[in-house]
Amino acid sequence: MTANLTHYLALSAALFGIGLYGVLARRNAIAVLMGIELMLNAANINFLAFWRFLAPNSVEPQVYVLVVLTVAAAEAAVGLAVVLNVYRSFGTVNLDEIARLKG
Amino acid sequence: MISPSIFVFAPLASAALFTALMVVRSRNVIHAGYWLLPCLLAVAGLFGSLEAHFFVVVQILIYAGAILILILFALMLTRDVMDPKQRQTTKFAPLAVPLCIFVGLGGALMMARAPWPAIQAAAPGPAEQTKALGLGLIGDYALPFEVASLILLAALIGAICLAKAEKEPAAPEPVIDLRGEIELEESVSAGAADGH
Amino acid sequence: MSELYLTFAVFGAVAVGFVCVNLFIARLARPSAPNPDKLETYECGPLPVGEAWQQFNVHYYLFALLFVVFEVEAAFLYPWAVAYKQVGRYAVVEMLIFVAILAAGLGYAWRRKAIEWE
Repeated sequence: MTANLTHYLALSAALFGIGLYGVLARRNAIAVLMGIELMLNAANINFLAFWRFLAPNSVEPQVYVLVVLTVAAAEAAVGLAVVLNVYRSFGTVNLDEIARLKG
Repeated sequence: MISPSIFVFAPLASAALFTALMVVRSRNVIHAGYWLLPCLLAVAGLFGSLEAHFFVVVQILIYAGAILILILFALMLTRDVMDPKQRQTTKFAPLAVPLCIFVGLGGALMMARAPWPAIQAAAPGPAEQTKALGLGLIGDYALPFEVASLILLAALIGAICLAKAEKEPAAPEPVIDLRGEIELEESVSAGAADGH
Repeated sequence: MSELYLTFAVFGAVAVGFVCVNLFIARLARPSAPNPDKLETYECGPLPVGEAWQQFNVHYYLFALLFVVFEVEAAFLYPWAVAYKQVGRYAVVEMLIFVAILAAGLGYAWRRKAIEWE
């Protein structure tokens, strides 16, 4: 018995859903960023599953994955720096309390 | 062997989903950070089952080795990791659960029902794969390759600017004043913002 | 291609198993004498003061940041290194541009004193 494309796609959809929950529901800004990392990982599983089962001789999906990894690293670096800055000026990383722009 | 065995896929997939659930469900955000490690490693294992050998290494190096360290350092630096006994979810959480189940299951079903062409081709070996990727990065995909370094440059400069924005603000007093002011304004405008 | 990972799996299983078996044997062999003092944080003799959760220096973050950026660069260099011989000078020029852009970032970090421990 073998795993096929649908198995991987279903897995990545589920992982994406879990990451989305982390983004929508967590109160700690850093936990939200962890949710985003989960979603990006789900996207990478998707890309590599398509590469493996539909176009194993194409390079394109692999380039996409590398770009996603780069963007993930950049996103984590800038996102966490923003969180550190917010923490410095508000004294908290609780997203419910950081509501100054709501006026 | 054309496709990965279900006996490789199933344990890796359940490990990834379980640890991902622990990441979003852990009350202590430090624990969530530590649960992220096995999750990223399980995803690396899934890449291995897909024969994307280069990305197994890259996933472990970049995600588990670097991004996770960055996240844990940020947790160290933000001192008020909220008390695990406190509520850890926003007021949208009850709404988020059905939405995420809908997105996860709906997406999974949609993917499963789509008529994917059945191509039974073997993946190239590890050395050929990496070489093909390198040739791609030099040739057809030279632009994304250079843009990637610009993205990294922008992220580096932006993050340094943000992290070093001010010389350590003058003690916590002004911060507390600010927050008191906000709360005052909120209570004056009879905002029903749910407090702490 | 699963044979490729079989060695790896066996290696990992032996490594984890070694730790577990040894800890289990130690548990059987050692005497048990629980004492609350043993659970105290050890700080070179004196009693610990305050919490373990200290405010850390932001420089930890800056170093981790540089590490992340240059590790991603390394991930790009690897496939390039496998392939550049086939392409020649053009590939070297491309990589030099790539590295130069990131070197500018390193120079910026240097000028902002992000890589100095104050």
